[in-house]
Amino acid sequence: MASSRNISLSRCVDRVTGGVLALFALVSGGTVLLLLWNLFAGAWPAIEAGRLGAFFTDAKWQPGSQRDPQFGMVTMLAGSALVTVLAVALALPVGLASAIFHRFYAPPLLARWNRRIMELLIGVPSVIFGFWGLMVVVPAILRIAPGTPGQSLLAGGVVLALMILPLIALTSQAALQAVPSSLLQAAAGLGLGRARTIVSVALPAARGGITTGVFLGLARALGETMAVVLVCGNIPQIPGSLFDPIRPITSTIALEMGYATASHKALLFCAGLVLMLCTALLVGWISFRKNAANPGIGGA
Amino acid sequence: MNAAALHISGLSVSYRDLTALREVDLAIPEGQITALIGPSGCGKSSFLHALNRLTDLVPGCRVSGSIRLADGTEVTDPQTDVLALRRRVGIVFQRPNPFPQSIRRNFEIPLKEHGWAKSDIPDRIETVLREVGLWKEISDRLHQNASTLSGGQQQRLCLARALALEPEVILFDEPCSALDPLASGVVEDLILSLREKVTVVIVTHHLAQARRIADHAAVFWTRDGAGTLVEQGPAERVFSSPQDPDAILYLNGARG
Ligand SMILES: Nc1ncnc2c1ncn2[C@@H]1O[C@H](COP(=O)(O)OP(=O)(O)OP(=O)(O)O)[C@@H](O)[C@H]1O
Ligand SMILES: [Mg+2]
Repeated sequence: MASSRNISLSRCVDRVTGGVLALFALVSGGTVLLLLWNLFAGAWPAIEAGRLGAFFTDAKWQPGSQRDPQFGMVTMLAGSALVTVLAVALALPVGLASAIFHRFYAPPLLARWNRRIMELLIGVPSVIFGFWGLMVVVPAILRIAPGTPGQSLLAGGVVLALMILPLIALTSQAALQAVPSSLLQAAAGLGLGRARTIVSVALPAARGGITTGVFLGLARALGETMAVVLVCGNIPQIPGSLFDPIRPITSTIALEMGYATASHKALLFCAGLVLMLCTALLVGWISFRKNAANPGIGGA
Repeated sequence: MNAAALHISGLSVSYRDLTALREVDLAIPEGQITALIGPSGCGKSSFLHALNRLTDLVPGCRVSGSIRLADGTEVTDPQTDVLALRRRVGIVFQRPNPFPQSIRRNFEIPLKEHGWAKSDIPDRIETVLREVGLWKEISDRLHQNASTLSGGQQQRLCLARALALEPEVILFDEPCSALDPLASGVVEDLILSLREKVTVVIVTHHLAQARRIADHAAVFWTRDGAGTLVEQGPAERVFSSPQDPDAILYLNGARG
C-alpha cells in the first residue's frame, strides 16, 4: 500500500515538474512571438499606407521633411550589409589564425591564455568598443587619410571586427578541437607535415563549425548598435570608399526613435522588422546547416 | 632466412612514469608477415607506433633503444626525417580512418605531400585501388565522400592509401577487429597478397588469423608491470611448440 502511494506521489511530482517546465518553455517561446507581434503592429500603419515599396524606391531617407518626405532605406541596408561583411572579412582570417595557433602551435600555457583573453573579449560591453573606436581607430584613420571625416565604414568595420573576433576564434577553436584524433593520426601515419595536415585535413573537417562561427559573427555584427552609432558617422548614404561615413539600420532606429512622430515611428518599426528578418534568416541558416551536417563528421 | 627489414634492439617505450614496453629485441624479416600477439595492454600498439614514430604524437611518451631499417636508417634518431620515414613505414589502424573528403582527395593529399607529379596521380590511384580490389566497385565514384563507403571498403581504401606511397613496411594494428567476418576475410586475403612485395607487421587478437597468415610470430606479455617479448620465431614453431609458460597457456586459449 505504502509503496503504491509513493509511486503515485512521485508520478504526481513528475507531472507537476513537467507542467512547470512546459509553462516556462511556453513563456520563452511566447516572448519571441509577442516581440514579433509588437514589431509587426508597430509597423502596420506604414505597411497599410503602402510605404513598404518606398523603402526600396525612394533615393533618400528624410521621413521628417515637410516638403519632400522620402523613405528610401537602401542606403541604410547597404550600410548595414557593407559594415557587417567588412567586419567578418577582417575578423575571419585573424580569428582562424588564432584558432589554428591555439590548436596546433601554442604551448599549453600560451594556448590557455589565448583562450582566456578571447573569453574576456566576448564579455566587453559594446559601448566600450565604441569608445575605443572613437579614441583609437578614428584618429588612426585620420592619420592614414587626412581630410576624411574619420568616422566611417572602415572605422565601423574595424570596431565590429574586434567585437566578433572572439566569437569566430572560439567557435573555430572548438571546431578544430572536435576534429577526430583518428584523422590526425591518419595524417601523421601518411607522413603529412603539420602545415599540410592543417590545410588539407583539419580545416576541411572543421569547416562546418567554422562556418557556424562566421554566421554567428554576421548576426552579431548586423545587430550591433552602440559601437556603430559612435564610429560610423551616421550619414545615410551609399559610401564611395572605405573612408565615407555610413549609417546602418540599427543606428537609424536608435538615433530617431526618441523623437519620431507617429508615421515616422511606424517606418522605424518596419526597419526593425527587416533587421529581425535578416537575423532570423542567418540564425535559421545556422540551425539548418547543423541539422544537415553529417553528425560526427566535421559539422559543429 | 631473408634479411631484416627492421632491426630492433633494446626497445623500450614509456608514458610518463608507466613503462609500456621494456627491452625488446626483434628482427622483422623482409617481405614476410610478422604477427604480434598477446593479451590487451601488453604494449603491442606501443611497439608498432614506435616503428614509425607515431609515438611522437603522444605527449610524455619516451622511446629508447634502436630501430634500424634495412638501409641502416636509425628510426629513433631525432635527426631522422620523420615524414620520409612514415612514407617508408606505413600504417593501417584498427578503425578505418579515411579523410571525410572525396575518395580521390584521400590519395591526392599524401601523394602530393610526398612529391608525386600531378599527372602520375590518377594512374597511381587506379593501380592501388586495383591492388585492393576496390577499382571495379568504386572507379565511377572517386568524387564521392569516402565516408559513404562501407566499413570494409573504407579499410581497404586505407590500405590502398598506405600502399600508394610505395612503403617498404606496412604496420597493421588489429586491422580486422572493427569489421564483420566477411569483410575481415577480404582484408586478411589482401594482407596475404602483400607477402614478398612489402614487409608486413600485424597486431592481431585473432589467433586463428595469425596462424593462417603469419610467417613469423612474436608473443608479448606483461611482466613486472611492463610489456615484454616472451617468445618469437617462425610462426609454425611458435604455434606448435612454444617455450614460454605464459605463451603456452595463451596460445592454447587458456589465458589472456
Ligand atoms: N597514450 C597513452 N598514454 C598513457 N598510457 C598509454 C598510452 N597508450 C598506451 N598506454 C599504456 O601503455 C600500455 C600498453 O598499451 P598498448 O596500447 O601498447 O597495449 P596493446 O597491447 O596494444 O593493447 P590492446 O591489445 O588492448 O590494444 C597500457 O598499459 C596502456 O595503458
Ligand atoms: Mg593496441
